[in-house]
Amino acid sequence: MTEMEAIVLEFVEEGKEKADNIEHRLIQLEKQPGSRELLAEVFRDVHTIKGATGFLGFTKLGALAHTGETLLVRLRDGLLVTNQEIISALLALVDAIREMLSVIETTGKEGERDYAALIATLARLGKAA
Amino acid sequence: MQALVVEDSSTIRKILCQYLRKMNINVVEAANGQEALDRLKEMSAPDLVLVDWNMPVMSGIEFIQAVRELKIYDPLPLIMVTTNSESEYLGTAMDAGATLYIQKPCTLDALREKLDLLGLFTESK
Repeated sequence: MTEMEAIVLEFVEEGKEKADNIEHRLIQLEKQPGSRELLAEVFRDVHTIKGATGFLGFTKLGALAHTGETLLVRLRDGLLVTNQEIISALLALVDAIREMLSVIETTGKEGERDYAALIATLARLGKAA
Repeated sequence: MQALVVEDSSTIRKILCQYLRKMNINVVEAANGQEALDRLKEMSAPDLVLVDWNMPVMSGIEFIQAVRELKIYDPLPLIMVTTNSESEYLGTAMDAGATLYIQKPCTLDALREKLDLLGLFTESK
């Protein structure tokens, strides 16, 4: 295994772990929608995934995570209120992250699937007043 | 030469450690600011610290503030490695006591340039 393959493997494992954490906290958020602590933790995990994509050149996953991160900043900072539509979109983000990680694990690349609709949804929710 | 890498992402930590090892710098790792304070005290003569901003338990800013309160580390270069590029963030990092900052994602060459600025990197080390 090359150094780069080992790092990509680490990224996939870390990403899966973060995706599990995010999903768990989103489910908790459904019961405590105002929890800044939970929102900060979800933000940090999405931020971590995005940060690593930049080093590895996974631009598609990075763009997706970035849109989620932008929405989460506004929720964390109290500029938006968490609702069921937002939770559902963030759960869809988790599914998409897992899917891309799975493709990366198998092929080393991000795959062809287009996530433009999800990115548009997350961006729309992030802009809502 | 010995560096401490403080980063909660195991992937990014691995990449930064790899960069430093390619410059023949020995590396000690920590996953958050609190762990980094413990590691720092165990290190005999640390030459530099690379520190992330957003981390659980203790953030990079809190870590830098805590280190700067310990006067024995006054000359220790603390390099903030961050995705935050806005000037207000960078001002906060410098006010807290960071020596330099480097933007994520960074390349080996970019990191080498920063260490060069501090007089910390030469091919022979």
